[in-house]
Amino acid sequence: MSKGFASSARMAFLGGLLLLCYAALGARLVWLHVVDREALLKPLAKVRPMLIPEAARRGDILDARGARLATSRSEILLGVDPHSLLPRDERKWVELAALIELPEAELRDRFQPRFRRAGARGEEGDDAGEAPVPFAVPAARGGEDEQWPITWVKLREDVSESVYERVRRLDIRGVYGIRHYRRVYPSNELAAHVIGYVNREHQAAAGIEAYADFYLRGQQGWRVGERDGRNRELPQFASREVPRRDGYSVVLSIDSTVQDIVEQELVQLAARFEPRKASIVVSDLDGFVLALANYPSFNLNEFNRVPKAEEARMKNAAVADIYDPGSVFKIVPAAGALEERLVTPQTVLDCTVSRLAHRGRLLSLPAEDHKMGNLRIGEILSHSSNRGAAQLGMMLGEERLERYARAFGFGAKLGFPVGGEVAGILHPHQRWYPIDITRIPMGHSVSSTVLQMHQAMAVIAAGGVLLRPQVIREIRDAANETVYRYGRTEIGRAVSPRTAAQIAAMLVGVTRKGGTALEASIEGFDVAGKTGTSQKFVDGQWSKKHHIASFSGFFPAAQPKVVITVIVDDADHKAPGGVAYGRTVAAPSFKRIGERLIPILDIRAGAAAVPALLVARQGGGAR
Amino acid sequence: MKSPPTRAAVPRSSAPFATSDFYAVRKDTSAFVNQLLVWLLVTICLGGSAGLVTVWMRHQISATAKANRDLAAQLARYDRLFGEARTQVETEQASDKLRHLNTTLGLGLVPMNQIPVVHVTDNVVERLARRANAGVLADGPAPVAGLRVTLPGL
Repeated sequence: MSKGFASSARMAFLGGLLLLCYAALGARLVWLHVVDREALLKPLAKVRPMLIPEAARRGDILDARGARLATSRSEILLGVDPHSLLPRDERKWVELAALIELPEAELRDRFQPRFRRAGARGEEGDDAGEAPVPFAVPAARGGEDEQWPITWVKLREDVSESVYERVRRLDIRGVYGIRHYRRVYPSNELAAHVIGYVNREHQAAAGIEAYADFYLRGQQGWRVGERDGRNRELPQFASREVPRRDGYSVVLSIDSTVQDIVEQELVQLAARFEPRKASIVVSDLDGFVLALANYPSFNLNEFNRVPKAEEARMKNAAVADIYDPGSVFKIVPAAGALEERLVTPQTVLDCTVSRLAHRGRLLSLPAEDHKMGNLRIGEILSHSSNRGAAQLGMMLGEERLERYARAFGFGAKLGFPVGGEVAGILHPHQRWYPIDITRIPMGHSVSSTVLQMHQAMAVIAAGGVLLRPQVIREIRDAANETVYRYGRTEIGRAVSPRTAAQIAAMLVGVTRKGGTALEASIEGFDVAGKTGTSQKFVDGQWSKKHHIASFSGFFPAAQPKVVITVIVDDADHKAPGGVAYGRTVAAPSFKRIGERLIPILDIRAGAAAVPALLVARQGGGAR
Repeated sequence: MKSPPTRAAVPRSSAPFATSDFYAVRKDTSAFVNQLLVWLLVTICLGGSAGLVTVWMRHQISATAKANRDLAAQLARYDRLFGEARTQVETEQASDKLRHLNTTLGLGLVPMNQIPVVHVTDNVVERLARRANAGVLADGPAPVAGLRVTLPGL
C-alpha cells in the first residue's frame, strides 16, 4: 500500500513553505494596496492623470444662398521637444524642413537642446518654453539657479492637416503638433464689415463674429484620463468625459452675389472718383440687408496686416459714421405734410420766395442750386427744391417735423446688430435754433448714418412702416437644423400706406426727364429715389469743395423689391465740374447695381398677381 | 533471541498499539496534508486562472477602449480632412478668384444682365388657360384629350 507523498515530512514542510510564500505574497499585496496605498499613489496621482480638452469647432457664417463666408479650418501648431530627439532621426530633418517650408539651418537651430534658469520663465519668447496643454509635465521644483530644459520650441503654427500627415509619417521622435481651429474667410474682403473677424487670441473681435459669438463659439469638451510613461493616453482609464458641442451656424441675409456686385461697384467708384469713403446698402422690403459694403475695406484673412494708420478702414462706416443726409431728408417733411393733410399732391408752393415769417420771425429760406418757380409737392422732390422743403417744414412746425424725422428712423439707433451703430444727431425741437426749421427739412443741421438714410427711404418702399434693419436670417445647429429664424420686425409706422404710395409716385419723377437723377433711371422700370448733395464741414466752415453725394431709391416703384442707397464722401476732385453731386456720382452707381440685380433677384417691372387657385377638371368645362 | 515482529508481520489486532489511534492519527494527518496540498494547488490554479482571466479581460477592455478611441480619432481626422477640402473648394470659388481665372484662361464669361431675360408681363395663368381652352372653344375639331383648365370666377 502506498504511503502517499504527504507522508513525508519534507513534503509537509514544502506545503507549509508554499503556503507561507502564498501568505507572504498576500500580505505584501495587502500592504501595497491597503496600508501603503496613499504613499505609493501620491506621486502617480500627480503624473498619470491628464485632462484632455477637446476644442469645439466654431460654427460657420453662411450667406443667404448657403455659401460659406466664414468657416473654421483645423490647423496644427507644430513644435519640438529638442531633448527627445534621436540621432537616428537626423537624416529626416531635411525632409521635415522642406515640408514645413523652414530653412534647414533654422530648423537645426531650433532643434538644439536649450536650458533656462528656473526663475527665467518666458525669457525666450513665445516660440520656446513648456509644452502647451495637454503635454505639460509638472516640472520639479528647484532653486533659482537650477537649469530647466526647454521642452517646447515652436516650428510652425499653421500646418495643414495634409502636411501634418506627412510630418507624422516621418516619425521623428520629439516632433509633435497640437491641433487648433483657425478662422478662415474664403471670400477674403467680401462683406468684411458685416462678418467681422476672430483675432489671434481666438476672441471674436467685430461684426457678426462678435455679435453672434454666443451661437458660433460652441462648447469645449474635455475628458479626464490617465497616461502611460510615454505620455500616451490610456483610454481604459478615462473617468469623465464631456463631449464637445460644435458651434451653431449663422445664416445671413447677405447674398454673396449681390454683395459682390456692390463691392465691384465700389471698386469702380474708387477708381473713377477716388473718394475718401463710400458706402452702399441694398436691402429687401422686409428690412433684411442683402449687401452692405464700404470703401475702403480690408481682407478678413489679413486683418492683422492693416497698418495702424489705416485702421479706420476696418470701421463699418455705413453705421458708425454720420453725414448730413442732404436732400434725401426732404421725403420727411413732404411725407409729414401729406400725412397731416396740410398739403395735397396738387398743392403748389412758391419756391422763389427768399424770406418767410414763422412764429413771429422773418426767416431767410435756403438758397436754391438753380432757379425754381411755383412747384407742386412732387416737383419739390423731383427738382429738389430747398425752399419748397423749408416751407413744408414750416407748415409742419418744429414739434411735428421732429416727430416725423424720428418716425423715419433719424436720431436713434435702428438696432442694426453689427458695426457699432451710432444714433446720429437730431436735437429735440426745443433746442433748435429758429433758423433750423428752414434747414433741417433740406437735410442740414441733422446728421445720420448711411443706414438711417437707407431705412428712411425703405419706409416709403415698405408702405410707411419703419423696419428694423437685420442681417441674420437663421441660426442652425451642427446638424443643419434651424433653431431660430429671424423675421420682419417693425419699429413703428411712420406714415400711412396712402401717403407712402403718394411719395413713391412723386419720387419716380426724380429719375424721369426734368428730375434731378435721370442717371438713375432703369429702362423698363419705374425707379423711385432721391438724390442728395450736402456740403462737408471742413476747417470750421461749410466747404464748397467737399461734398457728400448720395442717392437712395427703390424699384419697381409700384411694387418695390429692393432698396439701394449709395453714399460717396468727398469725391469732388475727380467729379465733373469739381463738385460731387448725387446726380453725377451716386445715381449712376444706383443704376448699374439695379440693372445687375434685375436678373439675379428676378425683379419684374409689373407682373400681375397670379390667381391663387387653378382648377383643372378632367373631361369637361366649368360646372 | 526472538526478534520483535515487524509491523507487517504482526496482525493489527495483535499489535501492541492495536487498540491505540496511532495509525488513524497518521492517516488523518496525511489526509489533511494531502487535502491541504490539493486545495492549495487547486487554489493556486483557480487563483492563477482568475488572475489570467482578469488580466485578459483588462487587456480586452484596454484594447477595445483603444480601438474605440482610435476609431473616434479616425472619424475626427476624416472630418478635419473633409473640412479642409471643403474650405479649399470654397476659397477657390471666391468671386475674385473666379474673375481672375476667367481673365487668365480667357474664358470670356460675362456677368449676367437683364438683356437675355424676357419678362412675360401678362397674366401667365390666363395665357395658359387661353391656350389650353383654345381648341375647345374654337370652331374647329376639339382636341382628343379632355383636360380643361378653369379659372375660378370665369
